[in-house]
Amino acid sequence: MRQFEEQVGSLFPCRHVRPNYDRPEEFSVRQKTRLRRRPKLPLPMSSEDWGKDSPPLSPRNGPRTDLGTGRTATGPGSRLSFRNVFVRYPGSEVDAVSGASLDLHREKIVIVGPNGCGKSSLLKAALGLAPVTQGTVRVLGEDVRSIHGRTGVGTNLEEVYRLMTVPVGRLISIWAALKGGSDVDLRRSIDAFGLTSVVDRPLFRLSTGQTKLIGNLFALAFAPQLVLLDEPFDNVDFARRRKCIDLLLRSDASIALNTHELDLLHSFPDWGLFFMFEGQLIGRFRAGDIDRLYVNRGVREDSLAQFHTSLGEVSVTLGRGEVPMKAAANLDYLLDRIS
Amino acid sequence: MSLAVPYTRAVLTNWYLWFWGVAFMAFWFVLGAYVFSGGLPPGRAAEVDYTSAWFSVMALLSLTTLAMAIATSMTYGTSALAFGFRFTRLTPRGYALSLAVAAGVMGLLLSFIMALVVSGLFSAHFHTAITPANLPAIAGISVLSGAFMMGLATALVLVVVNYLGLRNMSFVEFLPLILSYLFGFTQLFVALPSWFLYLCPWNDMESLLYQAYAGSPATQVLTQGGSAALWWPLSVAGLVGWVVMLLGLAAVLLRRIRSVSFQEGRQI
Repeated sequence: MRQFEEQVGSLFPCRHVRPNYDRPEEFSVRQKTRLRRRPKLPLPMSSEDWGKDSPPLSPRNGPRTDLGTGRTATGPGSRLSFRNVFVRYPGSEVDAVSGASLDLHREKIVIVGPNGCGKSSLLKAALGLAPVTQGTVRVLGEDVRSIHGRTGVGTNLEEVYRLMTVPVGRLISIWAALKGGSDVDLRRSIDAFGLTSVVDRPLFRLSTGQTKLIGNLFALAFAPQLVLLDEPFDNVDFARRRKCIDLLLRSDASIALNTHELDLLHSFPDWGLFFMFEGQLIGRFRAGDIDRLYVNRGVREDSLAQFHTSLGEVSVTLGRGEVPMKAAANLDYLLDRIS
Repeated sequence: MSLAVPYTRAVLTNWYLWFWGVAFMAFWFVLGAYVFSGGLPPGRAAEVDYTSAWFSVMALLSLTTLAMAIATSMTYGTSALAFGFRFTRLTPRGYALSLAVAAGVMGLLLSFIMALVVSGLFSAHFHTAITPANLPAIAGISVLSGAFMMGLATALVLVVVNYLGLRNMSFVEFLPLILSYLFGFTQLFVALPSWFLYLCPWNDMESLLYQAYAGSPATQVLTQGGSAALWWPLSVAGLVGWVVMLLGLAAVLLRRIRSVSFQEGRQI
């Protein structure tokens, strides 16, 4: 263990050391290494893969996924699809998202990862708000670069509601017209969340928690097919978290939700689960199994998934391992422990 | 999907625009009527020319504040627009037209207020009624000018957002004002070639506003009544051409709008 620590030092926070994708020869070598390793891993997750005492995946949890690669058995009707997506912001020397692949059908997933790992960038890429430098993103079956007028997508990202400086009440009317729906349900939800007082104020005058809640309610309004939620519970009090969770569980939309709070996974036991580290998307797991998942240093025979970090390989195991995921409130803490 | 009503409402209730577009210009009108008019030759014709020249330049600058307001607010909404064009019924053309309508309405109001203030102050100073000769013409030119300012601001901002980076934003925000000062004051004192005056949209607006207020054609040099007169249909054609071109360019650039953080525009 000490030797390992000397070799890898502290795992997180860490500097991203990535293959240089500007040099194809280096990239290809890295990819080959990964391809050799991956077949040793258990094949796509399904209820069988998880052991006898693991409850089966809900049909809503959708397709099987090659663990560790994020590759998914795809089929028609995918509402959100990432294919080897890289995101890099202008002026940055590292990729915010590195080769993410994912298919989201009529199902709900949580993406968990430490702060700064690329979760928000992944969602922004799906909304056409982040610079995709490689790969393809398809939303509701269309390439996000050319999509237009598809009203069935909702998000809680505050910046998409900054069309003009108007009070929330007027923003609701404008948004209802833009989405082609009625604003009645949204106003009712805002009342139910005790946010009636905010409708006379513009978004930028609200507290962080109020802004987040309003964003969540806008995202779920107007009968969306796909909802992308970025840290939907940040700065939200317990009672309203509960209400939000109920809304998410009852929603008919496909949902991709990202968070850095592992505790939240207990609220969504039937949802799919992905981890994100240093821009890499790892999964799929099952959120209800979070109490049985362990994180380990290095590669293990029984690992369900493994991923490369700047400081070494990390593997995920089920049932036994070094550090239980449930021991951590968030992934920053967890990775700090195994380092 | 049209946002003309909410945008018009947002523009009309923008108090900063009212301050820079009306209150600040009124201050200059007071100076023009009571301070700078000292050396004016006697006679009604000179007083009308002088008043009309002040109206045309100040109305031009007042309209320019519209462009600056639109440019500033658009940088805060790049993500909203990028999302809106993909996942709502909002279209680039609808958005551009909505903004043009809002800018046209505000331009109309600004010009009428300028005309009101000018005629009140200058008439009081010269002890004779110097009122606008052609109010409908002022209305039409103002709407066109508002649309031009909107198109200009949108096109400039989108070039910066999509291709140059937000650090250039402060320059772009002031560019319409700089050009308004440059071309507006140049025509007051310098004899520019006629073809240039017809092709330059700022001079088109200034010439047309002058003629609408004075009732007589604008001249190559507004302060020299003896210089060559300009033919207003060509000025109208020049201005309409610019409006169409800029709105088209704005619609094309809007389709490619890039989501940027306004923090990128920080200078320090």
